[in-house]
Amino acid sequence: MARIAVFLTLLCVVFTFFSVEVAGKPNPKLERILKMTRSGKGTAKLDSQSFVKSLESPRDYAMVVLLTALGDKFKCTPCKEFDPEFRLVASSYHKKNEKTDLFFGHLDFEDGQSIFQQMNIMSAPTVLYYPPSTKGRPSEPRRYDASKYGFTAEPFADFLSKEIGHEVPVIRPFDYTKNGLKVFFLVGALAIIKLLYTHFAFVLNNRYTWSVISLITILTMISGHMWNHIRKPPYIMPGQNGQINYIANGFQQQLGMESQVVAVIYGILSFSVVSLAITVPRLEKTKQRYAVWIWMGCILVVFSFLMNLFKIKNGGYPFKLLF
Amino acid sequence: MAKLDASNQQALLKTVILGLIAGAAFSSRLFSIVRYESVIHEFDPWFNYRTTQMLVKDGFYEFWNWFDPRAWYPLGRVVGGTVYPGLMVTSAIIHNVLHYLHFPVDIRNVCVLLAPVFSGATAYATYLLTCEIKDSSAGLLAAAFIGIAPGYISRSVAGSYDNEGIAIFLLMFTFYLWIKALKLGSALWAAAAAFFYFYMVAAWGGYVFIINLIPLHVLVLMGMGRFSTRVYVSYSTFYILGTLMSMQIPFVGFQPTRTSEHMAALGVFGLCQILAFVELVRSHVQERQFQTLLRIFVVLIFVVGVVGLTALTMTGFIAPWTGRFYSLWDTGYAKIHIPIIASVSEHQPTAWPSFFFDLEMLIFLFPAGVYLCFRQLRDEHVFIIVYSVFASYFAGVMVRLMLTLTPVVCISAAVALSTILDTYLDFNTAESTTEPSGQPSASTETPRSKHASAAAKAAATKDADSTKEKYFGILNFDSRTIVLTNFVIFLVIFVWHCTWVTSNAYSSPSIVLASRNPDGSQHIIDDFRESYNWLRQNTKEDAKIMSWWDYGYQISGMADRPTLVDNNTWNNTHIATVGRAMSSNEEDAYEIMKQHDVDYVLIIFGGLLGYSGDDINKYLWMIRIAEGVWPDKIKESNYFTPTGDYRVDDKASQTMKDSLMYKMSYYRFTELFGPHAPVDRVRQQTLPKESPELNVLDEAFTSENWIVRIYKVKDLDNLGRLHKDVAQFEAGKKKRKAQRSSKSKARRKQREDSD
Repeated sequence: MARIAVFLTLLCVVFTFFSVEVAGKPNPKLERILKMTRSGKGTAKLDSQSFVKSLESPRDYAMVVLLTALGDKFKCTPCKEFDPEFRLVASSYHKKNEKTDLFFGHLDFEDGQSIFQQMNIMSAPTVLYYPPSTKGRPSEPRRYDASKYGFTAEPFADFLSKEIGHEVPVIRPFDYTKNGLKVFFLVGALAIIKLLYTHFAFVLNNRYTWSVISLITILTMISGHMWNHIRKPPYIMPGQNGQINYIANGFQQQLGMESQVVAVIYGILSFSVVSLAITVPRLEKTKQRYAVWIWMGCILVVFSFLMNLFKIKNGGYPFKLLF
Repeated sequence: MAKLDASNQQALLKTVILGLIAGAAFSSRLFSIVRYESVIHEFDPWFNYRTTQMLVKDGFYEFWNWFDPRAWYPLGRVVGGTVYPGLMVTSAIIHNVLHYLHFPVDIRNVCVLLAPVFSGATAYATYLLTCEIKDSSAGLLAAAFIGIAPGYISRSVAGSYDNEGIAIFLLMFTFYLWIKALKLGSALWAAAAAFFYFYMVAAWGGYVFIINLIPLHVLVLMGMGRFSTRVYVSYSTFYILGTLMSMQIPFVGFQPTRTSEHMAALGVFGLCQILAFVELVRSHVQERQFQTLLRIFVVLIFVVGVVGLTALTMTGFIAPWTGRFYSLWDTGYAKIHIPIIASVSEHQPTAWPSFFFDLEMLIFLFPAGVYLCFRQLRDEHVFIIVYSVFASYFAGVMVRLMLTLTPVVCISAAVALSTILDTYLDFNTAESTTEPSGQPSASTETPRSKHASAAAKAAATKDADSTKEKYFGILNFDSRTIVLTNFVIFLVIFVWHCTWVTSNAYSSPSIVLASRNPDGSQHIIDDFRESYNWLRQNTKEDAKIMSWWDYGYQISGMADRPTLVDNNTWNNTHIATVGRAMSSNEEDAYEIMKQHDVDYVLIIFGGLLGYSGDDINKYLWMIRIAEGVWPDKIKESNYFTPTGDYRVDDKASQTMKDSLMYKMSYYRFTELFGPHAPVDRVRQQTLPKESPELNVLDEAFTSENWIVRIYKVKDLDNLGRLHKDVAQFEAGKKKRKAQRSSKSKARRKQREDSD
């Protein structure tokens, strides 16, 4: 405790010292980062060199750096998702007044490969927050865990507010085109519904419409769609030596593809059962025989496949049907 | 047999079959008793058991006013006003009746066997409900399904003495009475439904499901233009009586009028009144202008009602959705805002294998059954459809709610399967090729009951209107054989599957563990009871035990000692305090423990045996919950390695190694391994060679397999020194002297400064 307190007071001292200095004569390092920030609309675009330079201690400002890989060949969707949000926080922070205690840096993999290797960063986007530092005591970076707190601006700003000690605002600009389009489409949709209602009302009154809606809902739900929705697993997974995994290991895990396959299996099985119960007794004698053989065979094969699939998920499962 | 006429034979057969189903349902839940013994399982049942004991001993009024000072020390808990008493009262009544009849049954056995007994009742209630949907043959199938479906067994094995055990019976029976009331438009049946709804409210928080599903059913019926006096009478009776009765439970109180969960029911009730009023006026007035006016009036009332409700919600008079229910809609909500809800494993979303595991082939018969309901679409079928859609959504969001899905899956699957069996076992229709019926006619030796034949007639007329197809029935013998053989095989596999799942997955009491010896014989691991018994025999009666909240009920139930937190989780801050003590360093933790008068600390450690449900694996949740309350003291990221891994070996972060939980878990663990490197079998990591040092706690007890470890909190030092310094002093290290001199120097300097 005591050590932290001493450290904190030291920091305070450093702060006051530097702010006096800034007021007195321009600090070249601060000037440079300010310039870069201005030219990047709040986010300084860094490369290997400027990354090292702007983080050199002593440094009276804190620095938060987004290490990302936006190039198309990396196919990093979260990077692209997080990038505008990061910039939004940066621009909202620098919009109001020229604050000089926190700067936002942006380092793409293509500009700073050496940094990525040096710091042993294996995944992007990685957000690192560097508190201000004194000479000879380089600050230890703190990581913002985007996969846990989310790829949106608000939790990120919360994280920064906690680190820096005062509020980091998020000012989302009002998007006129987007909202305008929304209103336009809403009105359009309402108008179309109004126009079509008289002609297509029978669709809404038809029990088959509703049965299709209900059955599709039920099938998606019982095949684990909500799990996908909440846990957001990958659709398929690249496995060892190049082949593609369609099935996740583990009883409580699944891949996007997997649950769709299961939904289709349940759909086929249910449809076969309904056919056997409803359609078959309404067929002529020979047709009926074929139909029974086809549907029953279908159920047998698909059900065996389903049990097999379940055996993959649950190794100790002792039962099987055909194979 | 020969002397009975056909309908009597049928009744006798049905009774025998239902009796056998109830027997099968009961006995398939006894695995745990046969393998272990008649014990209460898991966590929550221990609280229910303790309160039931109290209720039997001290009587109902004492129970109602019970304030328990030994839980949530030092806050205490008002038990009488914060429980659903249905379960305890039920078993107390059973116990008292048995004793009145001079059967001296121990209350523990009543509690252990309550859920299996009620599962038989559930099978009967499901039979009744399915009879209303289709006919008695489907009913018997549904009863058999629900009797052995693992989705329901998971919550009702012998010893699992929890609310769900009786609640599913009440759920099914309330729904049956509701369907009955709706069909007949009878206030009497609706009142009966309301009474069983009241019983359900008394028994389980899941009653909210009923009070939203029935209004939804009514709303859908209104939307389909099926509003009638039947609907009006049954729903109004049900709502008014049910709500008034439910408000008699202290834990529920005025919630039915003041929380969002109940507003749908109120809104539909209002809508019912408006519609009924309109019908009334329409039947008396013929002028068109007046009807327009009326329409405006209705719209106005509707708008005013909705705006009023919204305004009341906004101003806070009506409480918004509670977190638990809100997280069902906004699935990301709990993870961010209420970690304590997100931390419970049964609140996780359901992956597809769980559905198959719990329901096997019923899961694909289920959509088929729902489709068959759509073909008939009487009022009760609408109910099954609405129930199916919503329950499958909820079951997808939370593993736990699989329980509410299982009954409707059993009913739908039974409808589908019995339609198949009816079709392929019906030898009469082979000749009558032109019968335009969706339902094959009844065979002579088993004439249907009144309802079923009426239903068949209704279906027949409807089908004749909609589909003008010819109906042949099954014409080939081989078609019959192949379909029937296959489905019989499926049914046999289903029974095997259910037995296998029940035996392997759902019959462990979790306070007694079993493992296999090398020779295949069973080895019982009884560390929990051993340790709780140690606490009971070796500590003062009022020794306060600190542990993570999971074990609170077990400690108070088995060891009978005061606890700081338990599974009730009503006070997040208090739980966070315990989490903070566990995740702080020794000095901070000691301060917190002393403030809360803690005498002993109990932790669960699985590293030696490979028991994965231990505290180190739950540790991240303790940290998260503590961080939620003290973000400046506890930071989750400090417990990870710089690369973001959760490790306990050499590479573990310093904060992790300094934390009390880490030290308590691995204290003296290395000694077991002698010269070898100690290995944590759960995390599969090699630990540092030297044991962590522990200064503020004394090891008091460690169970046979090290699963439970109990530490005694040291008293304050007589000389006011820190425990760390005492330990160093006693170890004969000189460091202490240097420290003192530096301190005294500083003191002297201070004095000089003040001069």
